[in-house]
Amino acid sequence: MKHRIATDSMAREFRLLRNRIEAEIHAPAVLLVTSATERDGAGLTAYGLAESLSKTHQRTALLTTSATVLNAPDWSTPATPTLRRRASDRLDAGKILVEGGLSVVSVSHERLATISRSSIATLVQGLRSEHDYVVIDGGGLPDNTFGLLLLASADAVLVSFLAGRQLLPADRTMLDTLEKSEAKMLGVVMNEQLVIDHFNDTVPKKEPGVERITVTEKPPMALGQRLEVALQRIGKSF
Amino acid sequence: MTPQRFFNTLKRRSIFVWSVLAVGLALMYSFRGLVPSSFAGVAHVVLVAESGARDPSVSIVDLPSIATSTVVLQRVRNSLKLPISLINLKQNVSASVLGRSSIMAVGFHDQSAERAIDVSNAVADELSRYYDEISTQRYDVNVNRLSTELAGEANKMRAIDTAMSSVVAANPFVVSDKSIDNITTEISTLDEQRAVALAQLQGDQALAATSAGGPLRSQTAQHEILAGDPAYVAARTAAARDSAQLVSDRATYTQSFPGLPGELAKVQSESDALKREATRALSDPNAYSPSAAGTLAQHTRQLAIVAGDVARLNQLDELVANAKSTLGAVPTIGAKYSQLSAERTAMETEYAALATRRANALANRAEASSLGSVVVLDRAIKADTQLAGGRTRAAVVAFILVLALAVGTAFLVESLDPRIRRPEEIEELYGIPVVATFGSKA
Repeated sequence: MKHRIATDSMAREFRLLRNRIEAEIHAPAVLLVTSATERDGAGLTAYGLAESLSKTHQRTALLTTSATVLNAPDWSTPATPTLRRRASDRLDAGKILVEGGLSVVSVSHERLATISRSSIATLVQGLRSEHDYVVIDGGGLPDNTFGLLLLASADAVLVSFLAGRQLLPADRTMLDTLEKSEAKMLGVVMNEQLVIDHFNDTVPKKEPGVERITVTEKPPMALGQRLEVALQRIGKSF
Repeated sequence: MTPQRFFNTLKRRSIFVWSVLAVGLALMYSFRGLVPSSFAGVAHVVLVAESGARDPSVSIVDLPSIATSTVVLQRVRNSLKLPISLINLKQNVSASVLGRSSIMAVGFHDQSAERAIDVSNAVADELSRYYDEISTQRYDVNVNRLSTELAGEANKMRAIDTAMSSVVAANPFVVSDKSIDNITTEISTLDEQRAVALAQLQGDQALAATSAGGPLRSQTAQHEILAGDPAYVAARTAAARDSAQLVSDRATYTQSFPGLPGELAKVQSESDALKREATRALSDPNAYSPSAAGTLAQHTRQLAIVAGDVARLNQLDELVANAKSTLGAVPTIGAKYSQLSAERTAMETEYAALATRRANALANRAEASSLGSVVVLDRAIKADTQLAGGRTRAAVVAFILVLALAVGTAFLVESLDPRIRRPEEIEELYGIPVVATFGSKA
């Protein structure tokens, strides 16, 4: 399925969101991106926000239960195969150096079913000590234990919502759960179905089945690509 | 609602918009025959001003207002006996100046082509007349007042003429400067005529007296009466016979004849009887005598002549008295006539002055009307009226309604859709602000 997405517009929206979060939550902080259903685009929001934060030389970690985000397009630059990163099954944590640093930590569903609250809390604390921002892709809060486990560790919560869907009982459940949390409510991010579909279609559906992944440093860009990125950056600054 | 949200809603509900538009257009096409045809008659008028300049009092830009004024339209409605109201007439009449020219188009829309032509032409004609009226209205007031004054003066002059005529009819001498001499001469003439009439009267009276004087019945008349009375004739015959017998006896006999005394007494008796018969016959009112009858007729005629003379004399006396009376009234009547003459002379002078002023006012009015006038340049004809503005307008209105219905349907469906699309809705439901929207501008 082909989608026509304006990546420049998406990148601009993420920059605005990033600026707003940086103004409200100072590093180090743990940001939980959650939603009422799995279709609301929490993964899209979490990955886009983490990538945008990493581009401001902030050390950023993305904690997710899906490795698909590793192949998500770079919203700030045209999606090219050379810039995409693939997940590996290695257990050691690594960093993606995208003008700062982005560590992607994926927890498989199998591991999630057996992991304890203290373990996941320890993992988050470890990531927090090493990074400025830890962005957690919490998924659907009522149906996902991952989000419930990490809600207590989050400093702020960002809610995703699929524009155009009806109000569901899960929304009330999510709001009731969030009200009991001490985390700061940053706001709602509305995602169009078209963008979510584009994000999901662009990334191969691949379940890594690993707890911790290491993404090696990306290969150096060719001179032409560097010039292209530099020109784009200059053009955006104006 | 922002324009972006408006168009996004239309785009999202485009299926409803296009469906309603398709159905609406199909219905419009199906029922297009129900829309009545409309015809427009257009006449053109031009404002003609002196030396090509516009009328300073009324400019061309005011003509549309005058053309569509209730005064003009009411006159048109009355003249054509239009069965439509003044408001409807005003709504269908259009007047517009063509560019910056002095030409104005006067139009009328109607379902009847003939009436459209008639009304447009009538409005143009009435506009021309009404423009002339308002251009010369101030002069018309002056002219009307002067005309009224002139009519009043003419009436006064006629009254004076009537009074003078009656005075002249009663006293013809007043028209002459030698009225007293004339009256005196008339009196003298009448006196002379009276003297002659008096002499004539006296002669006739004398003649009448001779014809009626003395014994009414002459000897001839008495003789004719007695001769015509049989009793008298018988008594006279008996008396004559006995008298002859007496004379004969006396001649024959002596005085001692014994029959003489008897005869004498008889003759005496018959003589007395004859006298009595004569008296009776003459005193008889029915006794007739030709001579007496002729005399009586002549006397009667003479009396009539005398009566005529008396009447003439009385008439002359009356005339003389009247003439003398008129002579006495000459100063009063003459003064009255002179006063009337003077009044009429003054009236003539005033009338002449008013007539001059009215002539000047008429000249000014003519000059004012020549400054500018509206002339019907082009009358509406049948060939110019085949317009279908009504159907086109109805189609445009119907299309707009269908378009509005389509848009309204889109927003109705949008309002009935329970899905959440706008940030305001999610903010209201969640109670937290929307900090980002991804994909809405893609």
